[in-house]
Amino acid sequence: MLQGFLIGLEQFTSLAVIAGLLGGVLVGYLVGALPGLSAGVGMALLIPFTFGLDPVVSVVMLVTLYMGSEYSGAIPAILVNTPGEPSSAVTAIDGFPMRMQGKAGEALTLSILGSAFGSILSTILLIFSVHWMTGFALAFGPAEYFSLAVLGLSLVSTLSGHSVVRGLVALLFGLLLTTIGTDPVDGVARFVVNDGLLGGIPFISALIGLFALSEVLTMLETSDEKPVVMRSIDGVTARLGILKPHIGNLFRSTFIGYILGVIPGAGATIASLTAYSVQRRLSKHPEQFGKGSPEGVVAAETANNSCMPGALAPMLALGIPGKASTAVLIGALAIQGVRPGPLIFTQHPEIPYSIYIALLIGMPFMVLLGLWGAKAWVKVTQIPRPVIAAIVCATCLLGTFSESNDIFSIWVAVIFGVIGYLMSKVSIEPAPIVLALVLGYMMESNFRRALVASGDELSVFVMSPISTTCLFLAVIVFLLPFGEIYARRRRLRLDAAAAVRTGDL
Amino acid sequence: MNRLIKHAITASLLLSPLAAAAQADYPTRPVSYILHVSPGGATDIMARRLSIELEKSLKQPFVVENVPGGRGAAQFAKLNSADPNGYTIAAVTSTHIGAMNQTLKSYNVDSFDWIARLATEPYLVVVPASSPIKSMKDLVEQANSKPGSLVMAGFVRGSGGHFAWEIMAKAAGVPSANVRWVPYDSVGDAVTATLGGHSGAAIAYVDLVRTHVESGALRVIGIMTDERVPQLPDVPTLKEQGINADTSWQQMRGIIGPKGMPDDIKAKIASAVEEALKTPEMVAYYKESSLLSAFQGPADFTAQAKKEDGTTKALMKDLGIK
Repeated sequence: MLQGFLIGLEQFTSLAVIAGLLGGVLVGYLVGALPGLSAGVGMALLIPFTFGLDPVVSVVMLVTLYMGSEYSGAIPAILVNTPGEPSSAVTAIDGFPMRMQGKAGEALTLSILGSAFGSILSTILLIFSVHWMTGFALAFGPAEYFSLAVLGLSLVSTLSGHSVVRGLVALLFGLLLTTIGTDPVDGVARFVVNDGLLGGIPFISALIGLFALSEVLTMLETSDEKPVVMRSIDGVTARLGILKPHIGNLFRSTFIGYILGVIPGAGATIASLTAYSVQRRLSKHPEQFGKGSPEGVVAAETANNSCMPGALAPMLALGIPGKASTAVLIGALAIQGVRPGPLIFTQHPEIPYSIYIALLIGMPFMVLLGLWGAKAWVKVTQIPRPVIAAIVCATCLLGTFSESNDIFSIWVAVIFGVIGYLMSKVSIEPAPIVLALVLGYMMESNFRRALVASGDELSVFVMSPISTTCLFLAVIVFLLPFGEIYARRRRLRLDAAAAVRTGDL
Repeated sequence: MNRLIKHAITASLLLSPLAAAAQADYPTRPVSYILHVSPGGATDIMARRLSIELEKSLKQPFVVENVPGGRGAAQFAKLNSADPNGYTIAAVTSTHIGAMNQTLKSYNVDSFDWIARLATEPYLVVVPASSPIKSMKDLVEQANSKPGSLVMAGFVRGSGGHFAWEIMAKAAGVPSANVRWVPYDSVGDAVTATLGGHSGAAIAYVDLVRTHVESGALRVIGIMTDERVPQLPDVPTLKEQGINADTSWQQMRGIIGPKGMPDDIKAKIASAVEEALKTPEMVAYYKESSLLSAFQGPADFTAQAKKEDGTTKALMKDLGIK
């Protein structure tokens, strides 16, 4: 391993590699901050430029781009409730309320520091566990994926603000939406009113609509409101100091992000949602979640950044593209004649090790850019709301279009914008819908795959330890809030009874 | 009215030499090359590689445009509404022919002009290295002695890979119901499931299994070609193992255009493609990606597409797929 590191470090004596690193960080920062333009698409846009480059330069550039964009998606999420990356939708849940309370500077600083912590710790985990993790990634078959999706969906009770019923309504609505598209087993079109829906509801468009466009509509309602005074945080030590209360959260969220990153097909959005829910469950102040809890921002941002090194484990060691962005990386390497897989560590050790080093030394640059950027971005909040609304609307629609090159995706975003707006009027939060859109297809397709493979034996879901554990946890996680509600009601009833008794006396 | 027609005829007569001239020095502006996939995958990279070579020979940029919506629906719609003047072309694969018979029935083989076939990828059968199945004979034996015990992973029912399996099963005397076909979201996912032991076997391509075969995690027990492929020299063909399956059934990649393109423009693109495929860059790329060079010009490609369409329809009828 030490020799590998030396080979990796040697690569960084080349000016081209350093330029690739800095370029990747900067482009990633911009790609992430643009709603609709996701990491995968941003990386793919760079691919044609990598044809003539050295494989190490191109992979360093793409990996740091990926890393940068996973962080900077938080910026528009916090400032204008518009997730720059799908996973930063979770950051918006608390980041945006913080901004409304005049704490945009604090939220931005927390998000960059949380991201940095998650990314670096997770890269270290990757370096030491990459070979061991391959077995874990492969352990997930249809039954395991189904149970994992069920576990993910059971988080709904912690994501639905203060009304579990509203959360369930949103979740079921989201699950209904996932039935649209091509049937995963028979290939038959279901509820496809427009051919554009054959691949299901375009996820990024729906997300942009639910969060950003619905926020634009809300902004227009309150355009005469006075802007809140913003403050940013000065001094590096003061900035590092704000992480202190979150140490446990940081480690937990990193671990959750890394593990979910390793599982192919899980991904940053699920990682953020999970870390957020876990933090909320363990927090001393769960009532603040959704109203501007710094803990929520830290959990979401740490998890989505630690997910990324996790995703590199199956990609490097098995050649499995777990997500769109790692698929692009595999493609970029294939162009260079390098194929990720079990043999890459012996045939091309410079590739994995230069990725590790790029992640480790790219992060400090990212932090500098992020902290400096946070001061500048805070000023965005002083721009009059109608102007911001117009800018957000335009960039979002452009971003949506750039992902698909198809006008249909813009209509989807607009429709979801209206749905999101109407839902906010009846206090239904969009997070459970996102959860359903991410997990619904995974749950259904793997349920049916498992049944086809087992010849319709339902027992297949409790045959594997991973699957059984996930299902068991799901039941507990789902029932917990109901237990709490029951306990609270019981306490109230006892109090009432006590009051009656004292009244009697 | 008559006058209008007269004018129109005069105008078209006047313009036709211009049009002919335009065709002769085609292309005079950038050509858009529409893909049905997101950036980064194998089809995307191949298109981007090819467009570099086409630009060199035709002196105009070939701009790759990714339109991944609706599993090919958005690409078809865009191509269908484009002028058939050679400035809009699109990528096509065998999967499109499958889609024309399943989800995109408003299109058929005649809806587009078939310009050139670029490459084919043969189908193969892969099992985990730990599997007791060492050859196609073992596989057939297990499938027929214990029906339902063998799980075969691949892409959706009705896809090229699924039909490849049905073709070889029929040739080997395995009833369709004896093996459970489990459809994954991509052939790559099916290979991963087989690696993890969640599936007893999979139908895949050389490119997707090569590293795992080299590392010793997977074993390829048969390949549906006439001759062995250079990337897997130890893997016997199905024919060698006594299974006479139609080896022309392979995953194809090609270029199509809107219906009604002038023949000379089609010929010009096709010959530029044929030349491009002979460049050292493309030859190296084909070797690296385990693609078989399988160029066909407009006439042959159209005939091949019709043949594949016919096979697809017959198989769908046999298997009761709608």
